Amino acid sequence: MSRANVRTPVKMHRNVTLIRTSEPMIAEELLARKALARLVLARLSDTVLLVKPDEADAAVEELRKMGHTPRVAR
Amino acid sequence: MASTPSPATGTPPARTVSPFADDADPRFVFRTLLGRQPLATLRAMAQARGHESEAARAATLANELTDLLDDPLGLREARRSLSDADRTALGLFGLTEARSWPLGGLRLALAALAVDVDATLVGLVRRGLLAVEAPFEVESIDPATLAASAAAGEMEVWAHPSLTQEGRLPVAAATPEPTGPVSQARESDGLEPVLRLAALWQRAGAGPLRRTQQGLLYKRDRERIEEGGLLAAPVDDVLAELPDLPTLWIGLARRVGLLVVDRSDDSLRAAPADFWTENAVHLPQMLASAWLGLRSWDERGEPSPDAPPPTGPPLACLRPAVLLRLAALEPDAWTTLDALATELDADAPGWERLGAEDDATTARRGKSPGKRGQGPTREAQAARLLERIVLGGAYALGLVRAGEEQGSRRRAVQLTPLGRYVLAVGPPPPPRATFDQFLFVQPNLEVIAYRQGLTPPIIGRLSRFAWWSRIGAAVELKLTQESVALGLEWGMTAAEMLDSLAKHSQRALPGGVRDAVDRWADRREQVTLYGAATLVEFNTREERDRALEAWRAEGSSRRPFEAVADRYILAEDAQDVPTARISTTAARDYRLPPDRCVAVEADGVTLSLETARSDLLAEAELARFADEEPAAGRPGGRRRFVVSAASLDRALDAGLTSAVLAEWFRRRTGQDLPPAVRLMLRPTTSLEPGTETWPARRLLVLSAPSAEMLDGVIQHPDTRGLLGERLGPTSVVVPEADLDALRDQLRRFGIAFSLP
Repeated sequence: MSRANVRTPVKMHRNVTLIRTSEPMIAEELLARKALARLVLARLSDTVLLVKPDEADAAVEELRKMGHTPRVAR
Repeated sequence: MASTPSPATGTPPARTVSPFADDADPRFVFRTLLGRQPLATLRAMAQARGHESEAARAATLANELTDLLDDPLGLREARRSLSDADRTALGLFGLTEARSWPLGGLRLALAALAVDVDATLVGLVRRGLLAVEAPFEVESIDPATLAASAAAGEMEVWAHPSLTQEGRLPVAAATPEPTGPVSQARESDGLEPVLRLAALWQRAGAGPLRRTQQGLLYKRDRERIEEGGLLAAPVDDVLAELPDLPTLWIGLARRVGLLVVDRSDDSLRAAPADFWTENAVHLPQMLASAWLGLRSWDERGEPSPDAPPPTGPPLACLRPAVLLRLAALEPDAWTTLDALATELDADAPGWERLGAEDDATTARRGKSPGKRGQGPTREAQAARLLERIVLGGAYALGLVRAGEEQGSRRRAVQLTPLGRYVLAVGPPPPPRATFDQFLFVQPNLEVIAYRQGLTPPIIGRLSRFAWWSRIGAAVELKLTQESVALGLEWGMTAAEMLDSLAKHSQRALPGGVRDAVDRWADRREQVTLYGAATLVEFNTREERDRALEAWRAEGSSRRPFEAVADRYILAEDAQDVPTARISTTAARDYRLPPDRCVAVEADGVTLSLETARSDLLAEAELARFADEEPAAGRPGGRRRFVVSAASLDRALDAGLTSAVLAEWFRRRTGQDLPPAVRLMLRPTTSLEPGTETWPARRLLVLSAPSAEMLDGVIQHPDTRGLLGERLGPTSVVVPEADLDALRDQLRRFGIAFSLP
């Protein structure tokens, strides 16, 4: 079987709520905000935060309160 | 009128809740309602329509009668049988773009148009051209006694959609008396509702309007849309003030589709920005139809809290009848509101008391009907309602123009070309004369717009990225970081926003405005929230990097893939993932309840994660109160986490409670908290002298060479009383006080024991 035809085994995580920032510093800033940190379950990387399911609206609201204008991809 | 099923903010309708969904196919509803009729009734309908059938079941015959109206030949036959009165009744559904009408409302509207109500409605029902939706407790409906039925007030009438597009409706009512010459004629630009709805759309775009189970807006959201008075402020250019304007705008926005209900939480959300592209040109006509059939708001306004709920048919049903009477005038003719009121009085006496408390209700509440003299007189009430319909709503929508009859100085009205077009008695109105440069873009980011330059498509375009901050004779917009962000979300680029402003601006755009829009647009890219992203997890970083390179090289996705952490690829849309290149070994949907994916090992403090069933949340949750063991030495490659006193302290400090942890164990492991973890969760006590401690003591233990030997010692009556608790098969406790006695007794059996 040629390499091009080999399927890579993966695990799919669907309908995940995430916040992605352009800079690690912004992620730090978000985590320093208690009300937002409460909605964050984990930091997957320097710039990606895992948000609790069903808390997307609350997270957007909190981001806006912080003065951010996040792009919202639903 | 079923297209506005429940009010957004006002009083819920008194009508029994319909079993049909708001967006149920009207043909399905029609067919279902017919199918509830007894077979004999349906056979009579079929006979009246000249349809021969051998159907033995009501549902089958109801299907046939409904399908017949979708068949061109059957429809032609049905149409041929319609009288003018029938066409008026059916045409009211099309005119108001309503799938159903309340029976009482339809009766009222037909009466106001001088139609023989009973004969018309009974005839249509008997031929199966109208279907009646009655409360469930009403077993069958006799068409002949529709009006007299006790449930008539709760009945809804449905027409088959093929029958409702009537074009110009025949109006049997007498033409209102024309006036003499009229001066000071004026008409609105019809933009006020468009502007208010645009502002409402923006606010719903900034955040959904949440509703209670009763369909009312939450206080916070209601305040948000009323903030700044933009939606609640009276309309400047109307001749009669309208009550409860936010409810009116919300009702209209829902009916034209600018606000849509999110089925997941019943909130109201802004329609996609494409709405404006697709509908802006026709929006004035759409709004007119929506207003004609709007039931969630009426000209009386919201009742006071101590007022009885409105009874009788909704006043809204009168709007099309009033306008159809005006449509009967010659295009250039005028009439007065007095003349209209007189005609209505003649054909539908008591119309002005619609929904008001009737005498019987008043009597039940212990008041004398005769003592209600403090309220407005009947004539004053009639005049006020008619003014609100004609000079309030219809005037604001640009359907009616007003003037003053010379000499008498009475208010005269006539339909505008738009009004005549909406009522299908005139050609499409000519486009308004506009001019292109009508904006003043100021360095402080405020934009002043001349109304003369505005059109619905331009209003739609500006609404995407500039906040309406004032709507009146002068119209103002404001560019803000939030409005620009919303514009980007609604598909515009910063350059397109600036182009839109520059195209209509009388002067070159100030440099500060360009800078601000560009800066805000850049800032938006700093934070992205994904509400339903897909993370593809690879076994190794190398596999992930190879896949990322290949997927990017294919370039089939509209949205770029992003590498996240060591082993993930982030895809904004699951559809973008090239499924032909991957083999999915496990999948988790985070909208579903979490899986049990953690096993508790025998020591009670070690938790192992089942990789195939686990999710990102489980790992994050575990990391809160347990520490992951190093990868080396994991059995079977399973990830293991250990709960320790220190890790629990950390979790408790971060706000985790015992109850939450216990719930987590039940959800993720299917077990209660392990005793070992529970032990560590106990509140710790200080170890100072005097604090209560667990008792401990040293024991003398006798060990026998075999269990059988110890069984004998324990059983024998001479030694039995000298022993304490048996600890195991060959061990037993010996009380210190009995040690010598036991030694003596055992010696008798030839057994000796040594004591170090």
